[in-house]
Amino acid sequence: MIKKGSPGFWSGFGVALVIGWLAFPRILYRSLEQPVQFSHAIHTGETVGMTCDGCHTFSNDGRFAGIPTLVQCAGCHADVVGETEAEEHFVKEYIKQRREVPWHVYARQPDNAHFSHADHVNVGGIVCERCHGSHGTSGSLRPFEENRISGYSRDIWGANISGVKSNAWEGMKMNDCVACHNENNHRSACLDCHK
Amino acid sequence: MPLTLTRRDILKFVGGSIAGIMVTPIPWKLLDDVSIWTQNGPWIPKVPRGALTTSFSTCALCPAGCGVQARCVNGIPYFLSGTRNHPVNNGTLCPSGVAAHHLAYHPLRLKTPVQVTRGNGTIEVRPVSLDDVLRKISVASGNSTGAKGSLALLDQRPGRTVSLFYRKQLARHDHGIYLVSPTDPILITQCLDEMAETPFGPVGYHLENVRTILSFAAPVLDGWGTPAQTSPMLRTRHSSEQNAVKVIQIDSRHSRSAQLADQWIPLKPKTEAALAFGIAHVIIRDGLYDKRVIGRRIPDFNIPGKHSYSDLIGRFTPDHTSELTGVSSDVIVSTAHSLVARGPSVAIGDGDSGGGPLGKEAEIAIWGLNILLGALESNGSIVQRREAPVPEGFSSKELSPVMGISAIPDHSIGLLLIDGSDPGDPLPWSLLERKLIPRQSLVVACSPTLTGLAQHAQYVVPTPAHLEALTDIPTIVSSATATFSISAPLLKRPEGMTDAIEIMAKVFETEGSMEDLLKQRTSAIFATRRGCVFKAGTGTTVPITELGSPDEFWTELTAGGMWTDDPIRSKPFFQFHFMGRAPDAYQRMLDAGEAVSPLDGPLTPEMLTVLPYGRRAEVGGAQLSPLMTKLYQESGLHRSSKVAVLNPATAKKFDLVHGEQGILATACGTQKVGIRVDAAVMPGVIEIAAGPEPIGQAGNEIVQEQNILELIDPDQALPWRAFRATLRKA
Repeated sequence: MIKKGSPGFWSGFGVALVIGWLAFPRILYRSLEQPVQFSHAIHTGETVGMTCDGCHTFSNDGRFAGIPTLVQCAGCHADVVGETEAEEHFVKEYIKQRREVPWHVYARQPDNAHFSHADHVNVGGIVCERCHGSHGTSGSLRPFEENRISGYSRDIWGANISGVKSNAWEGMKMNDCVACHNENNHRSACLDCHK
Repeated sequence: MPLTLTRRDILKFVGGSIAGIMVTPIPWKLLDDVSIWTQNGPWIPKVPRGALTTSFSTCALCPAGCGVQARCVNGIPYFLSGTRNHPVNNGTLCPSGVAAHHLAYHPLRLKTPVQVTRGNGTIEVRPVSLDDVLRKISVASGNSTGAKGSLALLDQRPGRTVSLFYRKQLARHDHGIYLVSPTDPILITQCLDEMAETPFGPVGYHLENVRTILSFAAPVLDGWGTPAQTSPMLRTRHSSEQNAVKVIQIDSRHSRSAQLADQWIPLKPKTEAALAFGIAHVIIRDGLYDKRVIGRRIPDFNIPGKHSYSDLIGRFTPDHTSELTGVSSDVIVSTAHSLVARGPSVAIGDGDSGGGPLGKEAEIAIWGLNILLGALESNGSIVQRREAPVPEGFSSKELSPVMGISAIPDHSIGLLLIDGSDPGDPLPWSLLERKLIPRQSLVVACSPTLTGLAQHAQYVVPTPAHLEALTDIPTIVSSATATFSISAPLLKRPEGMTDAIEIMAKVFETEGSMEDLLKQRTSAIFATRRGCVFKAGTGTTVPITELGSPDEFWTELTAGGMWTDDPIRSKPFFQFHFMGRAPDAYQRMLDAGEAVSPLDGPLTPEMLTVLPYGRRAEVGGAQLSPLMTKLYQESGLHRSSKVAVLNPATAKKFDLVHGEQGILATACGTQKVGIRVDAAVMPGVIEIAAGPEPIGQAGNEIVQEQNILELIDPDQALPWRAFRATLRKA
């Protein structure tokens, strides 16, 4: 029996819930702004009309190039294009100084995990959105939320701290890979990913 | 209402908080993140970030020479895979090859030249300068030109271009000896030359023409040939298809090839020659051979009034052979009939490199069987092939002959130089040691790590590790045509590493650089305009005539390419002596055939017969990543060289228990081994691997390598292939 007006069991329970569900995620992740603002929407929209593989290319040997290097950007952005502050900053700080942009990569996987884009995209026919969601049409780069303990992006765990996924593309942990492989009847061996 | 807090209230609050915490992500997410943190903590080495590139090279770990594709970060390989469409491995790579980029970071890697002192179970090393080592060599080399002994160079990977360089320099030396392991294919091919009326030259195997392979302990399904040759055999084994290859493995051990073969014929150790004669007996007795060919080509087949091959074979009836070998007479007869009915057939000798040589007479007996089976005919499966062209000044007349250990007198070597930069066939130290002049000889090894024979040298000069060195890959014994590829460095070599050729050039007071030598070789190959070139970058093969210059050819080869010679179309007529051309050939062959297996010999009750085994170039340590302990030590998939395997009956007889430790002893020493029991092992026998073995760091102390070949007693007759030892509980 809890006395009326005294902080009892349920008060403690409630405080813990507030801390666990609201305060903990804010403490666990720190927010980092990307060094350069970039609009996928402008590049893939009607004005420019590029596609994902226009910059995120596959080389002749099937290897995925990942995030484009400065050389690729410089093809169009050797000089300032447009009037935005972000564009001017990018050209001045990186293109002109030939300095690669230290992007915070939302999908960065651990060193001991090997993921082949060539196998999944070229052979498996999986579309980019399956794992990266609507990132390819975003108007700006959202802050990179870094896990203070593990160092990985929040995208690896998923937006919801509970681990419950609202979209198929949320979460990039091993369990997510295994679940997708199981759905598609692809048996996995440890050495498929852990080289 | 006043708020009154009691101790009970606080406890309830804390209890509620704890209960509440349990239904929040805090404990579960923290558990997950902390577990990831333990994998990424500051103490874990990090893969460097940087530009990703792809490079190609050729694996030099074993004689196959597989194409390697390396993914690199900032130019440093971090992931190796097979080069697609490569003629040798067609995109595959073995576990050793996949982890080969770890070898440059091996804990036993040498950083400077060292003086080695062997103590009680450990090895002490003292850094010395390269000049000190060269000075010692110079003094010993001066002595060795005089009466104090000869200068021998042990080449652990013969057939390379640098091997030609060594032989040329040794030929100029008054007392120079070019030494190779007795299990080297060069010596095995020499047995065929001993039979042929005119030199036969190098041989290769057209395995795609073959329907039946009779393997005498050669690991035909486990590394004897190239992956591209073995894969089709593994795919079609046990198949009922008419043209599927059938593999019959004759082996005293239930080896991996025996496990994978269509048929395993276990025989008593060291009775291979008798079984070859027994099978030949049935073929001749039942008239299953081409009489016109044999009559025309074999001078010693039947010589009236003299001991001839038919007399020799006549003694090896199925029943008598069965007594000698332990193989039933029915199996001998059915094998002989199967070889003829399911031709083309080929018999492969060569044995198991770590298990020691079959012996010259046994090899001659197996070649004889091939001649009876028609394998050396123009449409046969054994073909003559050319060597890859060599530069001017390297013709066979200008080279020192290739010698096996048995051809060298005891206590005759004053200076022994060992090129162990690319390990190949093994050579037990005890056999080598007795060729040295006691307490006077100097032994200097060139090796990237302090393993194998380098542990017995007085001085060791560090050479570049795998993927740091520039070297060439000679033609593998199983190839029907000559091939040539280059293992180009993918890693920058650390300071203080010296190529073996540079040391030897200083010893012989001449100039020598690996790059110059290999460029001369590639130019000589290019000049012939023969053959075709595989391009690793595109995975295509083009005729060499499509390349514009030797430089372009060099560029392709150093980028993971491979040259393949045109096959020889015409074949000269050969005459063979079935027993060899030596005057005492009949008696030698008879003695080899009638030799009693150690299992039947006069053993004392406590003696067991040890059968060592190990694949070519993988015997000993430092050829495997030290991280591969799962495969080689923990899982038991590959048995460790510290494990002795016995038949259950033998274990029971000697009161040995599975899982316990035992002491294996010969006159040369003792080794501690784990005891395992396996019913596939022959009674009275101990099977033990001579390698490979991943070697980890043992603190700051360098422990003497434990290898069964260290226990071989050179005073025993036929000391290596099967030798006697005792095994007791530790």
